Amino acid sequence: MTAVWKKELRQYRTSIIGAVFLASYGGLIGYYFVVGNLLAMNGDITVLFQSVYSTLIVLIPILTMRLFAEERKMRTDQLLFTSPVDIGMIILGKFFAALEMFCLGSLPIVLDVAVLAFYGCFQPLETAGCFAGLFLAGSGLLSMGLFASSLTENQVVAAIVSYLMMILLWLLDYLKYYVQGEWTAKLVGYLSFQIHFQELSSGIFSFSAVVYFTSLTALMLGLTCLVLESRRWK
Amino acid sequence: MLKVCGLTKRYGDSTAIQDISFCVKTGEIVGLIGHNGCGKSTTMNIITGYLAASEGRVFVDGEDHVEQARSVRRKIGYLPETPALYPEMTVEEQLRFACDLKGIRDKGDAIWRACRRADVQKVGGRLIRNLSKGYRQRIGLAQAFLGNPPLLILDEPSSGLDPYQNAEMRDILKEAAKEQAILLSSHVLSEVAAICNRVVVLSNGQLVADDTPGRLREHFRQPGLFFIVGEGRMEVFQKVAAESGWFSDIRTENWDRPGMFRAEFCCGEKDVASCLISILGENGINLIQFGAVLPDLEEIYFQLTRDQRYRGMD
Repeated sequence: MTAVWKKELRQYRTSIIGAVFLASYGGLIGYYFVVGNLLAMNGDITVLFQSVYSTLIVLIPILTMRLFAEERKMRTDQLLFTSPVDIGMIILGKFFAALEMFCLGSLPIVLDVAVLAFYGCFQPLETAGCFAGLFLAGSGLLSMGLFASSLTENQVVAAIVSYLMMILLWLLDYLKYYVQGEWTAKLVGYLSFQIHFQELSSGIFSFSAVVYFTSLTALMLGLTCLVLESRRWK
Repeated sequence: MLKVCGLTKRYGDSTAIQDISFCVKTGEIVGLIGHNGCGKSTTMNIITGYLAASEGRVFVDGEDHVEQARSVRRKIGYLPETPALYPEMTVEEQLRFACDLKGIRDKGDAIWRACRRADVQKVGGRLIRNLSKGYRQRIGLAQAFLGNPPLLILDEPSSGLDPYQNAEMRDILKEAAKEQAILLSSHVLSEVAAICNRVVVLSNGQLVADDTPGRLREHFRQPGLFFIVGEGRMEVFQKVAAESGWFSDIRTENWDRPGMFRAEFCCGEKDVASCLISILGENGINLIQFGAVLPDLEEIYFQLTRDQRYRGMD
């Protein structure tokens, strides 16, 4: 796993994709902080997190689209899948590399929190909850992007599939008003990103949101494994 | 070292390979030949674990490639048809990554040995994207050599190489075969004949021959077709051979030394040598060489792939 993880990190470091992700993510965090907190003279850190959450849907597919699609296109997957490493470990190696890049990109938020703390607006538990939520939501979205990348050898198609899946889960919240049956509406509501996003970005460390994003991550990584394993049998 | 038993691969309704069985022993170079799409790469992909077989089993060093997949994969060095290389990496980075994947501990030593064997020491620091196709092929070969695995699977190793590189590749493989088992596929039949101890021929996904090139040539030779290399006047030979009545379909050509010629002919007589000696001695022609005309591998390949099934001579 570490071999794949190190290789992916190196590729992020040397490729344009890594630079584009870090620059745009960092730039947007700075923009949201200046506009939402500094210029608005607002010390509430959750304002920043809420804006950052909606940004993730746009940026994370950029980070994940090439992970398996490019390997398949370049036929380098033959090296990976004929090596004495389990497919699960290969997937985890790629997932953790993307997660590390995501965490690296989120570092400017720590600076923003420090600035707010300097002016006396610092709620430790609320901030910790927001960070944990960001990490969990990021993991869920990254695993979704990784899954989309395993479906095709075209990076653009992988990114589009990621966007569609994320938007669909995002819009489920609106769908709950139109479905019949109380339990069905509840289920659709629970499957929606939005409600869990809102809880976590408001600093509410909700157990159901933790379960939701952890399950989503595990499910998507499992599906990725299934797709790659099934390709051997096709 | 490698034992392939009844391998079959189906893609939906179509069958890519059917009931393929053969062995490769340590010290052997076995050539897998066949037309495009006959199932060579599929067979190799199944052996290396990249694809799963619909039926059949593969054993490497006595271990089942499904039940002991990790152990088996450690014993295989694989060069795919398109070398699995990352263009944005340097050669050294690529080989280090491959070492990490294979779990090789002494990476420096393994890389040095593999680079020396594949003769790519000079390009260690260069980006793969900037290298020629020939060099990429050799780096793919170095990657297969890493950790000195007992079985090498090489899918068209000479693809994209110039004649000099081809000759070097043959030497590299002959050297490797002293301690490793090698299964290679190639479209260049002269190359297969030159380096392989045994040939496995596939046609439309089925195994149609598995034997040594020598025995295949002997089996497929045309009965009664002989050749001589003689020293003397070619026209005299043509005349007396035709007049004798023993020989037919006489074809002659000048040999590579002055005053010598080569002739091919058909002879239905049992004692061909006596017939020859009687007409050559009387006409002042010295017999330098005499033998049966054997077909080259290309002719055998064409015969075999015209739906003729050849069974081993054992």
